[in-house]
Amino acid sequence: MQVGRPWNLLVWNDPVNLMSYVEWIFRSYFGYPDSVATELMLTVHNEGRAVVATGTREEIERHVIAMHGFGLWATLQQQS
Amino acid sequence: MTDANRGFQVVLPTQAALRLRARSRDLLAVLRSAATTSPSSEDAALRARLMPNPYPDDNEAAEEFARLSGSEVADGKRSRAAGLIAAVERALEDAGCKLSTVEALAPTELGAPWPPSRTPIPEQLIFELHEGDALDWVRAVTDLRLALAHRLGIVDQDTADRIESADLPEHLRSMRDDYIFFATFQEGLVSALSQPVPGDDSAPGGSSDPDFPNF
Repeated sequence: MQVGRPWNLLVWNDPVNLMSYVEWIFRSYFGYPDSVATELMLTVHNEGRAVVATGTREEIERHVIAMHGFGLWATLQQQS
Repeated sequence: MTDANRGFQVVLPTQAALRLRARSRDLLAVLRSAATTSPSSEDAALRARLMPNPYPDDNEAAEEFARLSGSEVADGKRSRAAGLIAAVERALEDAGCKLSTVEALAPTELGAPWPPSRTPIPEQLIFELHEGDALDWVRAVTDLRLALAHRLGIVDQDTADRIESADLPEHLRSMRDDYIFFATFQEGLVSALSQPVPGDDSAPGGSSDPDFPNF
C-alpha cells in the first residue's frame, strides 16, 4: 500500500497555449465540469500555476506525461 | 474521454497544409536530434520545453523518472508529427497531386498565390478525421506552436505581444504567420472537439458532419 503525503500535479502558465485549449484539456482529459475547468485555467493564467490534480505519485506521474503530450508545462510535487 | 467514433472534416488550403507538413518536418528533426551526438543548444532548449523536467527541484527523482518513463513523451510527439506529415501527403496523393511536384516548388512559392502554371496542385485538401486523429492533430499543432514560439523568442506575454506587431525579417515573418495561423487552426479543432457528442446511433456515419470550420 502507498503511504505518505499525496502528490500535486502543477500546471504552469505559458505564453503559447491558448486559454480555450487549456480549458478543453482540463475538461476532456480530467473530466472536470466546465466551471471547474474554467476556474483552473484562469488560476493558471492569473497566478502562474494551479494544482490541477492530486493523487499518488504514480497517478500524478501518468498525468504529467499526458500533460507533456498536450504541450502543457506540468510538474509534480509532494504536499508538505 | 469522449466518443472515439465521431468524425470531423477538415478542409485546408493546400498551402496551409503544406506549411503544417513543413513545420512538422522541422519539429521531427529537432526531436530526432536528441539521439545524435551534437545537438545544438537551441534544440536542447526547445526539447526542454517540449519535454519539461517534472521534478525541477529534485535531480534524483528527475533521473529516476527519465529512466522509467523512457522516451514516452518524445515518442508520442514524433509519432503525431509523423502522422500529420503522412496525412498531408496522403491527401495530396488523393487529390491526384505528386509530392515531387510540390517539393519542386521554391519555399517562397509556397507562401504566394499559385501561379497559373501550377494548376495541377489543388487549391484545398480535404481530411476526414476520426476523433482520435483530431486529438493527435491538436496535440501535434501545439508542439509546432511551441517550436515556433521558441524560435521567435516568445518567452512571456510581453514578447508574445511584441512579436505580433514587430517588423521582422522574412524568415521570422513566415514563422510568425504560421504561429498565428496554427493558433486559429487549433482553436477550430478544439471547438469541434468540444461540441456535444451526438447520439450513439449516429456514430458510424459521423464523418459527414460539417461541424468543422473551413479555412
